[in-house]
Amino acid sequence: MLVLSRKVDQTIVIQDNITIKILEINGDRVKLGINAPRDVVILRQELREEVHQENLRAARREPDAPAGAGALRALGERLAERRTGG
Amino acid sequence: MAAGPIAKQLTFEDGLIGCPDWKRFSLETEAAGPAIHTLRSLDEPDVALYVCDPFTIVPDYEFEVGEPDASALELKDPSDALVLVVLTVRTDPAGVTANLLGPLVINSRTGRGRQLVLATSEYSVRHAVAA
Repeated sequence: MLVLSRKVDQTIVIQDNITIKILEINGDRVKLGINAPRDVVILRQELREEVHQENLRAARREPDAPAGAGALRALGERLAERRTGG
Repeated sequence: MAAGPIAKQLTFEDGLIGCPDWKRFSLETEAAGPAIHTLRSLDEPDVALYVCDPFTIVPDYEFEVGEPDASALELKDPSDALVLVVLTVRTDPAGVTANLLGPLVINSRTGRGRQLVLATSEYSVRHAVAA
């Protein structure tokens, strides 16, 4: 890992086409301005982590366990009605 | 659901978000009741996810599939895209929630899929759909 020290208004350049500028520092918050091509995916890590944790929660160890099966079936029927009934 | 045949075996080359080993799935349509499908891992036999069509939950659900995702999925025609969201059955409090933040986008022609993270949306990973 590369560790750099920057001041407000200073910039980091990555691969010629990505720049990260320090816009503002306020206590423990840093505001960044990022310029990157459209095909570069930029994500707050917490969002990825939220989706990861939800994937783990959703992946059941026992797929046919009755817990919640009633709620799920009721939901399915409701959704199916919406789908066909409009 | 998208029109046309849907591949029964799906491949997520990068796995799901945070779960890179979950690459190959079988899609069992309506196995868990009407409108709810099961995505069963072919890599890890204990892993199975309930999924459904998000538009039945939130009719105006929308997001953009960016160029890198569209080309990774070889999605040329939007009508080939099948969108599913993962459901979580909760016990405390009891209910079912849908992960609208991390939808699955699948090329229904090839069975290739990717899980996206909708970075700029306000969608939740725990959208309540049933109590």
